[in-house]
Amino acid sequence: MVSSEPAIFVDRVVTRLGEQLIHDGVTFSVPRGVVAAVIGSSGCGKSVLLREIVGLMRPTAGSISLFGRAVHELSLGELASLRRRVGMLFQFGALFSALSVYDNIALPLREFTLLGESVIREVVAVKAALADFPLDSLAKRPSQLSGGMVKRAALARALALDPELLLLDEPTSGLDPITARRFDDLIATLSDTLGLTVMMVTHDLDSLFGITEQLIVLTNHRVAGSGSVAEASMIDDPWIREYFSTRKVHAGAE
Amino acid sequence: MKATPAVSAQPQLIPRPMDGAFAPGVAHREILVRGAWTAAKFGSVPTPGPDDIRGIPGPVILDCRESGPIDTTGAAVLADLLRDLGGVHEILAADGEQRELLRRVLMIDTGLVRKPIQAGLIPFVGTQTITIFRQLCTVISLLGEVVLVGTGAFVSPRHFRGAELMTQLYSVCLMAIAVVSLVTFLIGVVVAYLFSLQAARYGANIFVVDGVGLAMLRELCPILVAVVVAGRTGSAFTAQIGAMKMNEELDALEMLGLSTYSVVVVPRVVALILAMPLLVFVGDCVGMIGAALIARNFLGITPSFFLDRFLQVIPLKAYLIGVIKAPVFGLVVGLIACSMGLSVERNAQSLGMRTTSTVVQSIVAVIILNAAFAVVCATIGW
Repeated sequence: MVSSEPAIFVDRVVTRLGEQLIHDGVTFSVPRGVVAAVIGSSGCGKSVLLREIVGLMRPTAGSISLFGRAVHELSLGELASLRRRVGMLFQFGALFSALSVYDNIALPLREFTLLGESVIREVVAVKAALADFPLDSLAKRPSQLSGGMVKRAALARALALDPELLLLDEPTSGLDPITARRFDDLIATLSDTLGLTVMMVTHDLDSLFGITEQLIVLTNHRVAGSGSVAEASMIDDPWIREYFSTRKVHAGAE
Repeated sequence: MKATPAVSAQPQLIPRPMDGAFAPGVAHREILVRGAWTAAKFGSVPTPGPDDIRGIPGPVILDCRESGPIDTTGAAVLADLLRDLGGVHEILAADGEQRELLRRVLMIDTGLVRKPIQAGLIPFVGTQTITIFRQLCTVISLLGEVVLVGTGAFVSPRHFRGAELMTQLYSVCLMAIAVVSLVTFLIGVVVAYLFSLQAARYGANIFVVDGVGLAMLRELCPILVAVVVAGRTGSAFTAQIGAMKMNEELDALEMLGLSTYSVVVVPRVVALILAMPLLVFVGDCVGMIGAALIARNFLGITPSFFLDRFLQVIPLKAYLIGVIKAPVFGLVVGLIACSMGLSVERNAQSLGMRTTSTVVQSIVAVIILNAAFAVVCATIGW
């Protein structure tokens, strides 16, 4: 059966940007229906990895497969139809500033479905409601929204075509802790009810402990470990020890 | 999914009139949901029409137990179709997740949706008029700021941003010489050729020098240079300042206790005011070279004779009028460009719109000003 293929399979990926080595044999896989998170120090190539997974960048060596299909070996048409199964939430939302939130969400529906305008209105409302975006703000421009609202609107757009895989680049960065936790709950709920596979890049320890089922740690250009948060935090690596110790200091201060 | 064949099946609704389930003798409908109701499916097939399920009154039971996959898009389409029927009284779902999804989607009150409103003609004219008026006001107030900061620089020259002015002069003046020369040379050639066709008919070849000289020095060159500068420098100013504003650089300047006007606006406007007469002078020279070329090749006027005649008949004031207009044009282009840049909002579209406005408004303003100059010159007898 097709569904036995992992949602994401990253195989010995090497990335060099100019002189700089970013990834040196990064390998991991994310099974379907799982909420996975990638952590690693700033500048260790987490966002680059995310961009490689969706085919916006090409790794120097190695291969990446989504749902069993090698992303970088597809024709443009095949890549486009594969990407329609993937929703991406960019770090700063990347909402189209020329369009209202309503039109941002409606855009993929108008482009890739035969739905009429009245049905699209219904669908937009549903996606916005799923992403917890207030329906009476749909006419606003992205520039009129707060940071949290931008993330919600961008999430609604990412969900527009009912993707099987949701990629999140720092979903809670720039949000206050309360909004961030609500956003985490939202992701967890969506993953549960829609059977979504979620992979996020995050530094938010609360997100990690709250909703992450699989943690992938990138250090020294490689995957230092992958597993549940508890397992990953036990890995004997100086960076990981230091990373998780910030949590203990934090908890101790409370 | 257990109903694998249904994945490729067409989405359809099958109504089944029933009675007796709610109350004895009360008719109701059971609507069977079949096929795949997914975003991917609706990429290739249209949604079922509402006609299939109209006509039978009474409460609705939605039976999804034998349907294919239903995702949020499919559920929204279902909700849209069922809304006319007065809602759903009961959902029979294949599993708990499907029931939860349908329940959540059917609960959403789409009456709250606010779509962007398309404005009509009259509001459009109204807002445009107000916008133009406001822009005029900002340009005038910016002129005030520039004058204040500019005169302040005379009082304490230490605070004048000389280095920034030089940078701007380099890009505004020096780097513009090539394109200004090209444009004025070609126009000089074309105008001279046009005059020569007329003049040759009357045997008045030599008057080409008078005609082209006067036209270029007094009117054409300042206008041409201003148009080139508006397109090349004005748009660049707006884009630079707009990008700085979007990037909060202007706010950062203010926070450092620096004035946006003195750091960003004044050096640019002053650079334009200084550059314009210089560029007009270059344009005058190159334009006359072009004219002399035509005069030699088509009319047999040697360059030295051309120069003699030029010095003899063209009054100094013709040149002066052109060179006096130039800094005024520069000031106007600079003010429009900077005020447009300062009014950029934090989105990409507004940056593009403001940049376009700068070019259009600068050119229009320059041509209107030029007409005003012509009237003034006629009145004072120049």
